[in-house]
Amino acid sequence: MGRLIFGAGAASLIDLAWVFLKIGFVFFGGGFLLIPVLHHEVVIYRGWLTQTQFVDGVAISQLTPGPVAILATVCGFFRGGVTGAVIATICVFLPAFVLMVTLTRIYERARQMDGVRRVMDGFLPAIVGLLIASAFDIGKTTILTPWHGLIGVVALVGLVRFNVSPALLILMGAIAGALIGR
Amino acid sequence: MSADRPSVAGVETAEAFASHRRATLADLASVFLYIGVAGFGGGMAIVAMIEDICVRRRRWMSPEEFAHGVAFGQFLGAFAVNTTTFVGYRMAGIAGAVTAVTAFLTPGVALVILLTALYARYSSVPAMQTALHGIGPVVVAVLVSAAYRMGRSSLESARRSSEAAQGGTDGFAGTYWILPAIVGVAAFALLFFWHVPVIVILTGVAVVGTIRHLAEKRRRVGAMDS
Repeated sequence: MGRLIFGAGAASLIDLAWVFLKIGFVFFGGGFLLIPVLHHEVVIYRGWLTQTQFVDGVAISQLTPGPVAILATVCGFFRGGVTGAVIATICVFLPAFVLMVTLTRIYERARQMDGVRRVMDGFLPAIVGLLIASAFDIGKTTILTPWHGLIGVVALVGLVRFNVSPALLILMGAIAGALIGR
Repeated sequence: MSADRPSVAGVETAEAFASHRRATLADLASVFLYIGVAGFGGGMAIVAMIEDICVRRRRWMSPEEFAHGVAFGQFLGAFAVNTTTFVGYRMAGIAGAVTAVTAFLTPGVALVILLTALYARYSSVPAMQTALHGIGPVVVAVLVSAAYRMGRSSLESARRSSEAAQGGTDGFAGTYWILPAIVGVAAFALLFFWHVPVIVILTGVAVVGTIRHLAEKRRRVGAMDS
């Protein structure tokens, strides 16, 4: 347990940082892609986590708010305690962060050009399509009973008509879900 | 709260948003800390929540600009974090981006570390499952409401640009909604039914947009010559 809190030595923390930085670089291509990539690197290749620990780690990272990539935090924790978890998190997001900042800077210059702006405006309806697809995907696995359907409808009315904050609705959804049970 | 902002048919114009730019670092920290706590569902669900707070409630940027940021974020992969980076950077530069991303990740990371430590000790995940079953439908509602608003903005901006291009008198003015509708439905179908990678879909949208823009430009030049 002591090792879990205080972490591994400095040398293995540098090693850990390097591994997650590398994973951060190949991370481009979708959030869920991270799961197989991490699995290969930290379970099969390096053996930092057992298979069971990894699968439960996926469950933990899905239980919590925030991006799926927080799975890196779980893996870092098993290798180097809290320090390892923080280092893994920073390193896995760093490459995408630097690239996104660069892209945003280019964007600020490019949007001054009328043609570029008009091409980019085509993204808006496409994003609408992607949002709906995502709603269907999540709905498929979570709206399993009429009660859950009712939660969804009430939340939608609350959001669109009455301007209720999403966090409050999520809290109410969690309470309703616990009351309904399985 | 928003009565002082000019709007067209209930949808604010890009100019109205531009005049309300700039959030302080404290604004970014509090908003993204909030999203980090409430941001269940990952990916697009978080993007929808960022839209709800930053575009709809705070009016930090127009729906169009937000869509540009989301699209770029998708090209890089970890979209929710990339959208956070985009909003933070547009509001307050590098410091804004670092503040927004740190605030966004902190709640989730702290909770994950806590749960993992409990798991490492007791070898079981705390029973949160049934409560989470109730969160799923709310996340779906957040996605649908963001899609509804962005869809309306999309049609509104298509209508404005077709009026601007044709002086509002042309017989084609009534068909402005067809292209955005096709793009939206196609993006949905390609992703949902055929699991086409998002990067391919968005590249396709950019290619179609470029061809359309070049064709329009040629037509305009041709009209001037004759």
